[in-house]
Amino acid sequence: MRRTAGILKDSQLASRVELSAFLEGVEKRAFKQAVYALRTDEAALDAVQDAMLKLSVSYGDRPAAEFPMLFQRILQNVIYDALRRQKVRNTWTTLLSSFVSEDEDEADALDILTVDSDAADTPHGQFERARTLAAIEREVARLPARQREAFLMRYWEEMDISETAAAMGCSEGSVKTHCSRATQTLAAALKAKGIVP
Amino acid sequence: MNEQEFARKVAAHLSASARELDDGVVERLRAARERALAVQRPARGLSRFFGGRVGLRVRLPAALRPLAVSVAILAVVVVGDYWATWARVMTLQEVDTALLIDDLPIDAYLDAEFKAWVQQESRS
Repeated sequence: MRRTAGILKDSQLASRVELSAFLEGVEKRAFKQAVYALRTDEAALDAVQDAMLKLSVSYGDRPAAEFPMLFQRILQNVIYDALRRQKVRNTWTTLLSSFVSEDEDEADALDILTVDSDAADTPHGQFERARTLAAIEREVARLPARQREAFLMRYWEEMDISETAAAMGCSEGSVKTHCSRATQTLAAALKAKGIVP
Repeated sequence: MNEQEFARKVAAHLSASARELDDGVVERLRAARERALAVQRPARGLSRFFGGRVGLRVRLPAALRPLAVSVAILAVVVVGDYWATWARVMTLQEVDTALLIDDLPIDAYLDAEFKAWVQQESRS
């Protein structure tokens, strides 16, 4: 009896370790994904925290292999909820929304960038690299939401097409289409700015 | 460069960017992770070996769920009908009791002339 209890406790502990490892591995990328969609660090942190809690409370006992798909699905739902709330808030705070768009326009004027890997260690190189990363992130953030989700899940989270389709609640064909369009849009946008990733 | 190669290079840049998060953000993510782990849904005994949610599924297999819903609806209809019948019987019982204990004989209510007389009396 004691042995059975020990085995069960071990299995639970293993699951906790697996969940911890999964969350630790995914949290920074999840935060970035949320930032691309929600535009602010605060909202993104809230979204990631919500998604982590929901995964842990509702699906913490699931096999670790299911965590990526479940977490992405939860995260996207949390992000959509946050966007809906932002939309309602922005309706009442038009001043704030106009300020945000002005800020984005200013950033666009700086976008004549190239990647120079040889000079990456110099202060100038590091500065250029940071600007390049910022430009790439800005273009990713500008993608339509579904294209961005598909692109990030497939190529950043390295989920396969069926997992991505399950997480997005669409067909595998739609995932391929979204990914292809996202890649083409990104390639065109970065090329126009002289950036070769 | 094909599409996949390009996409993976972009993803590598995004990973580099994610590694350079502020310490404050990293700390808050760590705190959020620990909060999430503290409320992790526990694996419940043997249910873990059946992939979770075994309790509900054993008690109510998917194939039986429509039947259970039908039984529940039928039970609601039967109970509703019983209640309606009981309420009607109680009302009739009250009327019968009132008639039986009244000084006026029951035959008086069946007499058309008596009814006409009551109406006439009420008018005058």
